[in-house]
Amino acid sequence: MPTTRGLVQSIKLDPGFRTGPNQPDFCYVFIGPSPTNTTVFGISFGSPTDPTDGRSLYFASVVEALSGALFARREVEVNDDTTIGLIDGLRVLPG
Amino acid sequence: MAEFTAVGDAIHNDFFVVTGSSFADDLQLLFETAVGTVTVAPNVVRPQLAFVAQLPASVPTGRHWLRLRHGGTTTERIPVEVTAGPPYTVCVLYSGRPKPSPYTIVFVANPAIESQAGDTFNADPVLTNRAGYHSAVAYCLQNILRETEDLLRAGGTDAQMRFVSVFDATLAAQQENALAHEVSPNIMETPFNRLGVLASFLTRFHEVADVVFVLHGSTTHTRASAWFTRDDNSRPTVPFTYDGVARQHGRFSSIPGSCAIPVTEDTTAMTALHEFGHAASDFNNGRVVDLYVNGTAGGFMANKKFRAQATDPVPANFATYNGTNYNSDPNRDALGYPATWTSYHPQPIDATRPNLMDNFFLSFDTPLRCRLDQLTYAWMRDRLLAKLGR
Repeated sequence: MPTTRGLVQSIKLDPGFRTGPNQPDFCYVFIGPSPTNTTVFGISFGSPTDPTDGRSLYFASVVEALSGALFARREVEVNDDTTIGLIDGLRVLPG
Repeated sequence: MAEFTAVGDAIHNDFFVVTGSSFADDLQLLFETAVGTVTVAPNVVRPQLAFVAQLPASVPTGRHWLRLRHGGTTTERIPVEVTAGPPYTVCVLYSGRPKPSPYTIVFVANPAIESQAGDTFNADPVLTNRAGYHSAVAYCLQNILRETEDLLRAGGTDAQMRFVSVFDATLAAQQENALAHEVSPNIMETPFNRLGVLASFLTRFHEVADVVFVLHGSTTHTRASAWFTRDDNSRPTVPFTYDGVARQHGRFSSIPGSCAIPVTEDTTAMTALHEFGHAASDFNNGRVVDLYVNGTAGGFMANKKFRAQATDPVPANFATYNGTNYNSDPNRDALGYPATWTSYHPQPIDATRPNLMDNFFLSFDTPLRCRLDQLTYAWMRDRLLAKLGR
């Protein structure tokens, strides 16, 4: 499980409706030393039809933490799935 | 100069809408500060609006600059103050044409559910599922404005329509707040015996609706249904003829059309627009009814007729509307009329898929591409234009 460390440069949120019915919401996170030097990671929010779905709430919290790191200019470490770059772990490093 | 406006406040987990013109489908909202950007793709985009079902909490509170990126260009920026809440009870999602009585569609989180017998009223679970309600509003807007059937949006008419949401979690479970009624075995309806409650309920929120989408959280009565509008023909009307009979499209209604839809509705289905088709038709001057059953809803039906015998051939001509002949559908799209049916339908716009008012689940590819028949489309468009023109 690769770990990547860097600054969150930007976040893009895509509702599932954009990709088709009953598709999960999706988030793209751009991490790297500068806005022009980033790696993109993905977060899938799980079931869009069940907003109480714990998995959905968990990943929404991960995105909020990434957003907090973005605007506080704090470095993060993310663990991602080796095949498709989906984030499955996050650590916001001390400022 | 920016080419768009933010509607209302930017509040976490509340609706967020920007309005403008010539928005492209790839529109994105860029919330910027000096240190970074969060990009939010709207749930629904029309040329005049971009609708976000719930503003994500990952857009931090505080001052942002908001730009739109679409069609290969990025707009100028406007200031937006993002706050943590609480979300509003009444949200005007789109104000429509600025005039005294714009055509208005209201989405309501149903406060209470009336039992089938009418003797008990229970709190609707939707009041504790605001996220589910917002998703359901997004589904409805997508379904009525963005799928293949362009009934509401043809010629940009949806830009003249007002869209409002009401979510009031403080309301008690009592009759005056019960906009949904259970019908055995699993149907939820707006309360047929007291449909006047819809207008009186909305009056408390200073809204007058043409069609009300009652969104509920029942897990036992999840089959959607609708009741027709009652036009107020003591006020101005637009006359029409149907098979030589003079009738009217009312410009105003005395009781709005209504439908009850669960927040868990399958978003692969055309339920929202199908129910709108019923709700926006009229009790007295043309009911648009279900075509997946042989039975009659009584009264004058605009989209269904009956043969004397099931063995009789389907007549070639279905009806004459305002002097134009509309053919029948000899084959019931690709579905075929069951041998025992006497009912028959107007010719579909798309003969390869079921009629939107028929069993659209049987489409060979996706129900989202199903359309109305030619007669109902023309008749309903005229009806909408009559109300939009008041």
